[in-house]
Amino acid sequence: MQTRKATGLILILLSLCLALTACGQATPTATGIPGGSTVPAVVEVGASAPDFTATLTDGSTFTLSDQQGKAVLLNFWATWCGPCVAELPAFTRLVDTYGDQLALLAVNSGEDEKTVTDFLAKNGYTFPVALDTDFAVGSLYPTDGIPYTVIIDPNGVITSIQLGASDADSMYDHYCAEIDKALG
Amino acid sequence: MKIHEKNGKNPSNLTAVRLGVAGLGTLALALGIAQGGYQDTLGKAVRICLECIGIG
Amino acid sequence: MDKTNKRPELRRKCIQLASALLYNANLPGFASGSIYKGPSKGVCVPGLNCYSCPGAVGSCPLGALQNALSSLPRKLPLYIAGFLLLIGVALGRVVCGFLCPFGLIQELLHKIPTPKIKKSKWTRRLSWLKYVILVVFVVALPIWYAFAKGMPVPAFCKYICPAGTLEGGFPLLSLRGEYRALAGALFGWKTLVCIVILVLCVFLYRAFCRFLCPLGAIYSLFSRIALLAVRVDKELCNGCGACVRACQMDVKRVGDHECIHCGHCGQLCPKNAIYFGKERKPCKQEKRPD
Repeated sequence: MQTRKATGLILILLSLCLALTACGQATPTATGIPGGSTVPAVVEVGASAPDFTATLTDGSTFTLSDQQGKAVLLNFWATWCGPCVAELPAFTRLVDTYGDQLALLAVNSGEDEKTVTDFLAKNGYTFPVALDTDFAVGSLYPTDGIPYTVIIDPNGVITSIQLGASDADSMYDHYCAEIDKALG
Repeated sequence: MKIHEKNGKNPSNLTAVRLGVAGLGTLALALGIAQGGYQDTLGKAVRICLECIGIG
Repeated sequence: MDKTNKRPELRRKCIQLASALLYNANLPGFASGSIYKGPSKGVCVPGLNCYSCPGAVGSCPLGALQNALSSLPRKLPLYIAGFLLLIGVALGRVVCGFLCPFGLIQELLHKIPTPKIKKSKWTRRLSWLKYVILVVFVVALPIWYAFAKGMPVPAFCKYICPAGTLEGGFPLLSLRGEYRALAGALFGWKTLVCIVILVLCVFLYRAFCRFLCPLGAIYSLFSRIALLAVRVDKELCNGCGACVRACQMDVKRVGDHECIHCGHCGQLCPKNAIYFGKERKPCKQEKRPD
C-alpha cells in the first residue's frame, strides 16, 4: 500500500535525522567546528574568559592569560562579512585611544593566511589580527554569528558581549563605553 | 491546436549536450573543491554574517 | 468526470516532506536556538533552505552562490557552479516540485479555502520577474559590491529571501534574546516581505516560485535538457490542451521552463500521454487502444 510505504519512508528519514544530529554533536572533524567530548566553558558576562594562545599574522603569539592588568577586546570577524569589515576602522581608533591599557585582538574566522594578509595590506590595518583556520580559538567562544566581540576586564572576567555591528563610528563609541566600564 | 513536445534537438544531440553539461559540472565541482570551495561554503554556513541574512 | 488518482500527488507530498525533514535534520537546533556546525554544512541542498535555520544541515545553493561571487575577482565560484550544473542537468525544476521545502510551504498555504486568483497573461508576464531578480540581486549586486567596495553583499539573502526570514530569522529571534537586540529596520523590511509573500501564496498558487524565486529561475534554464522531467508522448497526444489549462503554473506547454514537474496534468490527460522520467523511445511505444 502506498500509505504504508510512505510511512516507512518517513520513519527511515526521521531515524536518519537523529543519526545525523548525533554525528554532528559528537566527533570533532578537521572540517567542522571542533567540539570534541569536552564541554567548553560557558561564555557569558560575569564568567571567566577561556584562555587561549593564538598566532598573529606577523608570526607572534598572543596568550590571553598574559594580558592580566589590561582590558581585552576580543573580536571574531571575516573578510566576507560586511558588518565585520565595516567596524574594523573602529579598532584602529581604539588602539590609538587606549594604548597600553587595552589589548585588542581581531581573530579571523577560518580564512587562509593569504586572504587575510592581502586584505589587511590592501586596507592598511595594523592592529593585531590572529588567524584561526581550524576554529581552535573560535570553538572556545562559540557563536552562531559574526561579528562577535567579547570585552574582558583586567582580571580575566567577561564584562560585555556584542553580536553584530553597525558603522565604525557608532561601534567606536559603544566599545569605548564598554572598555571604560571594564577598566573601572 | 496540436501541442507538441518541442525539443529543438534530436536525441543524439540532446545526449551530447547533457554529457557536456554534466562533464562541465563535474569539472567545475572538482576544481572548486581543489580551490577550497567546500571550506569556504562551510565556513560561511557555521559562522553566519547575521546582517547578510537580514537580521540587522 | 473526475478521473484524478490521488496516489501520485500523495507520493509527491511525502517526498516533499521527507526532503524538508532531511534538509533540516538538526532537530536539537530548534530546542537550543543555535545552528548546526557539522561538516555537511559545506554541502548544498538542491532546494531553497536557509543555512541560518537552526535545523539546517546543509547550505542553501543561492546563499552559497552569492557568498562565493563576493570573492571575485580573486576566486571564481566553481564549487557552487558545478553543483548547480549537475543538479540542473539531472533534475532541473523537478527540484521545485519535489525537493524544495519552501515550495511545500506555499502549496500547503494554497490549500487554505479562499477565493483563488487564476493564472492569466498577466501572471505569465510577471513570471519573467524572477529572472530580473536573479540577475540583479543574486549576480549583479554581489559582484558589484565585491569589485567596487571590497565588501560582500549577498543581496537576495539580505533584502528579499522569505525562506531565510521564515526558517532562520523567526526561529532564531524567538529562541535567542541576543538576536532580538540586533533586529532593526532591515529585519522589519524582511518581515514585511515575508508576510506579504506568504499571504499572497494563499490566493495565488506558488506566488514566490512563479514570480520571485531566482533558484527556480536558474533550474528553469535546464528545462530542455534535464534528464528527469514530466513529458508528453507525441504519439498519444491529441492536442486537446487539457494539460495546460489544468496546470496552475504559467506553462505554455507541459515541461517548459515554468513547469515544476508536479505531474498534476498527467492525472487529467484523456489519452494518458503524459509521463514522468526519461524520454521514451518512440519505436518501442505500444499504441493503446482508444
